Amino acid sequence: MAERKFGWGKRSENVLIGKSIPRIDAAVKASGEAKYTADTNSKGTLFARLFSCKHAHAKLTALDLEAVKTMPGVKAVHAFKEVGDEIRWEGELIAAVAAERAEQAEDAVKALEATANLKFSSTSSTKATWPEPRSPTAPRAWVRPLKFRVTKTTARNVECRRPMCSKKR
Amino acid sequence: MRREAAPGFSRRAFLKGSGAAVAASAIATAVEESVAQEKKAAGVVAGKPTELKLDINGKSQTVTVEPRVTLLDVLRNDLNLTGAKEVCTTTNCGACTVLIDGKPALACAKFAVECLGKKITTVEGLNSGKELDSVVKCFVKHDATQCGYCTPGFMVATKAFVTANPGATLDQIRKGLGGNICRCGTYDGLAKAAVECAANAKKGGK
Repeated sequence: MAERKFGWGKRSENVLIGKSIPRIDAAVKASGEAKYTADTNSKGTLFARLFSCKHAHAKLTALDLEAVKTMPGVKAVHAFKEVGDEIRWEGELIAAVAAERAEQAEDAVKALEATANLKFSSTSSTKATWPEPRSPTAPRAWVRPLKFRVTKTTARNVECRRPMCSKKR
Repeated sequence: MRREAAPGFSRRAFLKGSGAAVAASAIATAVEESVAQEKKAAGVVAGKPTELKLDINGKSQTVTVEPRVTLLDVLRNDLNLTGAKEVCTTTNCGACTVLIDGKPALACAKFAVECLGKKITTVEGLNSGKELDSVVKCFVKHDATQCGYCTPGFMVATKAFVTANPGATLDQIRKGLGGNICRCGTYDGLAKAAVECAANAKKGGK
């Protein structure tokens, strides 16, 4: 085996390894000077709030975005879903509003109205499993839409500017 | 949110006291009344942007916001003082800690209008001098930062705590800073730094 030649210097000559070196950004961070992404306040930045469905399975039957477009501070409204689209999970986005101030965007999202036909969903592990094969004439309750309707889905604030937050508001 | 290190004092014990409960509600009513009076004096109307003059870091700052806007949003969005961080907005994490009349408070749970006539000090105010605050130096020395998002909140909380409790022990510090959360888990460094700060405060140094 050929002799190996290593490029390491002597331990006493090391600049980094084995030395205690203060973190380069510690003072900037601890004194609040450091600017994170959420700290940049460039002119014209808008605040967004999202409108999501609180039901796990539904069909969107009505969505009115026009009313909020003229609300104070509102600059843009975007629809993720169209009337007739299916909602497949709780929290699926329906629309988003961008406004000059956070509270204005919140107001606009709260003013949004959507109507949806609820469909079957199950959060129980036993009920969610596919039942035993049965005769084609037997009622199949698990695919029949429920009778009642929601008139208004509740607005939930989904905040994407909170890097350390695990809690939903 | 307990910052006091007074031995033998706990909020639970305080609230358990039957007489104390009455006293607590009386205090709450008094606070509500004083806030209502201040709002009246400032001409604040719900839903209407109002001009507020706030004393922040020794400077008088004027902002025009609705009464429902929090102090944190005013600091961060209107005044660009982004040292106080917005993390949980539900008073769980302590990242938005500022000093109101010298006492630590959570800016996310204060309306800007509540702070009229009060002296607000942010982390920027504590470090506005030529030299960094001694607490920051201790944080650097003991490597009490990692991602650094919680650190300004910890810095303000530590400053207020060691000023009020010079020479506090490690246990007292752990309780006193219990309202702040660091998800990187730099608690070891933070505790060491705070112990040194408390010792410095006892020595008479700043």
